[in-house]
Amino acid sequence: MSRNGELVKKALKDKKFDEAAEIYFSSSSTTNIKAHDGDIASFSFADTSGLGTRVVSGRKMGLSFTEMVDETNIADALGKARENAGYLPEDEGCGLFESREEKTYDRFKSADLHKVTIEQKKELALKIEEYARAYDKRIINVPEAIYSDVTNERIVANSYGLFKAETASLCYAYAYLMASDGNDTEVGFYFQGEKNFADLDPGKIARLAAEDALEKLGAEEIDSGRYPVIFSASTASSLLGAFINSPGSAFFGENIQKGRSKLEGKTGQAIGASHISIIDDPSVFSMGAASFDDEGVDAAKQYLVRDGVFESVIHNIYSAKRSGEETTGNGSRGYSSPLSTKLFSPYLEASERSEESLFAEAGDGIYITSVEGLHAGLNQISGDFSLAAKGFLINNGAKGKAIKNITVAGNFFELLKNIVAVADNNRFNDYAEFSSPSIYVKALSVSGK
Amino acid sequence: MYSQEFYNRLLSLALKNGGDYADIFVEDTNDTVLLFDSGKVKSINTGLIAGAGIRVIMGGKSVYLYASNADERKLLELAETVSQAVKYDKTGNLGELTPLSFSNAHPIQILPSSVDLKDKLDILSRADSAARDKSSKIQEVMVRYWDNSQNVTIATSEGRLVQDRRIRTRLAVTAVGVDGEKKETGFFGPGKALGFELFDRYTPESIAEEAARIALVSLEAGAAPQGKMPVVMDNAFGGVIFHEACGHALEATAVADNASVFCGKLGQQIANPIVTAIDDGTLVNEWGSQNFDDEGMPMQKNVLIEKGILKSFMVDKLGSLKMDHPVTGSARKQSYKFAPTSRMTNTFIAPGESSLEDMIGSIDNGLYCRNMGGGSVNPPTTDFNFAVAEAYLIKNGKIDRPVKGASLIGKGADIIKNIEMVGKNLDYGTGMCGSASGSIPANVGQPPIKVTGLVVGGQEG
Repeated sequence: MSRNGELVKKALKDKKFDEAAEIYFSSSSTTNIKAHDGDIASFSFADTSGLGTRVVSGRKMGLSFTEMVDETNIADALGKARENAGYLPEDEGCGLFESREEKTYDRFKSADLHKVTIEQKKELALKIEEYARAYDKRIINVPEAIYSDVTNERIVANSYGLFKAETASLCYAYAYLMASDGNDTEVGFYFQGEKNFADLDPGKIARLAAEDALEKLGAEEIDSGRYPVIFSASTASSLLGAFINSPGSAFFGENIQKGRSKLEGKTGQAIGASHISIIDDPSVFSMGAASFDDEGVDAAKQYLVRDGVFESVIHNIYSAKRSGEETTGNGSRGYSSPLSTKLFSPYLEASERSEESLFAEAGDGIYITSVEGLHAGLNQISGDFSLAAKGFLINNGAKGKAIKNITVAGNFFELLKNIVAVADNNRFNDYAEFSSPSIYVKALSVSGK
Repeated sequence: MYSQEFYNRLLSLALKNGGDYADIFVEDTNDTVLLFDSGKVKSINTGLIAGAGIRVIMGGKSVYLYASNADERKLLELAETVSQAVKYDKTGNLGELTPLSFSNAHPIQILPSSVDLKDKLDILSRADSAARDKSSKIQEVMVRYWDNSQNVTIATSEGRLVQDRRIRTRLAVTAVGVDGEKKETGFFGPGKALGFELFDRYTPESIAEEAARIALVSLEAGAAPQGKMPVVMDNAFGGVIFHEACGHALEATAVADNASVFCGKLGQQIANPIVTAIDDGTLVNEWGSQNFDDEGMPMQKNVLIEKGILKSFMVDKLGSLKMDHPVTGSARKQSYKFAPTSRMTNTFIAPGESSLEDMIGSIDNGLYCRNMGGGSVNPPTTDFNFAVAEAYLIKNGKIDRPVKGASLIGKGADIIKNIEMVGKNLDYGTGMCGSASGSIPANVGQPPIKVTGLVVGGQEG
């Protein structure tokens, strides 16, 4: 067991009160490197840790946290959480994971990251910029060519005897760049996240970011109206993720219980087109992958939607208790934040169809390749969204001219029903909190000139 | 706080293999977050954020190392490690460290740490009741109380040694209105660089009533229109338009890397001559105000655009070395977990001559935005978007029915030319701004303004 693990165990054993207590500990080492103008523009390295306590006193739960992780401060944080609990009303949902299981995990630990030198990491960031600039002379600047990695130890332990620990590591790199044809400037972006350093591909990152910017040059405005829309895999991932895997998600038990979900009372009913399934599979590597949730419950594969039917409400211990159900192992928190809900590696199931075949089916419409405004331009409760977008016209089943200065508006719950077809191109190594293939949606409001 | 000698030792250690500049940032922050939900206290979380970072700048490059739980031994280790990452043939002069004495420009009357938790919880309870009392249609209320006391010590190789305490308090209410199948939210969340006396300026009732009012208006609202049309944006949080459309592209973070449309435009006309825009970190007790920035420089009032002419960028130390532009007291960061970079403080468009009535009266067919949501921007292109929280159609010079769900998009560089009228009544709105150095308190502000050429993206049609 790690030194931190021993510290956590000892603190629980030595606590000076009888109430049930939990300690959530996390520590990480992070490297971040930015290349610019052929040189390493910034380098940062960090060693951070923090510890959060939860104490259940009767049916009240108090929290406290500290970044000074030593015996004295852990004991203080436990005492403070117990004191804070005293100010709370009784709540039937309060509880910790009553398990004596002791287990450590390392399946999401990189196989090679510990052997990679700083010089190799710098080289990768430099290559991204070099390749991007060499790709096309219209790439005029690469403000961000970034390499980053993180190694994390996470422990959830409680006074029932639970002790879960996981060591995980991952690395990622991205390019954010500018292209100009003299008249018009556009930005491009591509992100790749991997468990193993060897899988990062600077050439691919540079090329795809460059193409993202270049193909937007010379875009034109279009008339407002209703258009059939195909969202690229990355934009569909961002849009669906903002609704499905964010704290306000309609699929989460806590939101349903509070009347903040349009899916209340809809389990077992069709909520989407019959060909769509939405699955969370924690065994799949993604930026959110983990072996157990932040309350120490093992993560498991589950269907949110199967063949269009709403199958599972997603719970943490709190929302499960309030529904008289079992947690689904989806508790989410950091050491300094209260409990919420999350999915691990959620995705919209792919078909075997190519993206091009969706174009052919749509005939005429709009292909959206970038959306902005996801943190403000949508309403979790009503499902309404209105987002700034860029993309292309689709004419006679083929990608046409680039378009800009539009917003695309619709409603998430309507969209689930109006997905005509999905493609085969899921990506799990993107930064989004969800993975979707490209999707073809019947019709959405597009605002233009 | 460690001794002056110790900071000197750390700085010389950090610079032992060269470097133009070094700084040390040590913080311990007490943070309290209280949540009230479904008519009762949902969560009480109190904690300690504590750590330190050491940075060396050489030319236009930087190395930053940070760690939590940074005691004397850890700080020495950080200084040693940072120096190992530097290979540079110059070493800047190590100035004699002088503790800066100053009087706190943002006095606090009631320290949050001196207030009993019960009294804090009472504020949340009052807000909850007030929102519900507004209408039986208000069926859910979420209240979030936040107070934060950040103790910082900043020591720089230029000789500044600053010790300061920054206190902020905020209360944010989200009210959910329900009418049959319809469900809409309203939000209001003012904050200031004040202690518990914040609630003498804003009663929890007044905050809650405003959130409830917005939710109730949204329940009555129809779908927003589509297409380009003139827009009147009211004061206070309406200033998010300048923040997104223009402010970010004036930060050295973008300008120094040639990633802003405003590069090389100092002294040029970039906006309508009726536009003067200011970033002022000295406004007394305002949300984005501090005595010093996170490089220990006094915060200052920076006129960014004066009568349409670009006068200044917002510049931190690293940016100033890259751009040959003086620092402007704009270096900010969320915590020790970020290297500082150029950021906004309290950013606003200065008052003009027009009245809100004149603006609305001048429009046959347009949109009046009384309250804005958040937004984002791409600084290289200034393509921005933001959400409208409360809006009304303008028909034949008069305010017409409310509409919901609109977003506004445009290009910042164009929009500041298209500000056709600027009103008199300047006010500020509280926001959190996320960027390279984390999430920081930032005020936006403006008087009412009239803008043309924005695309309104609604669901109508």
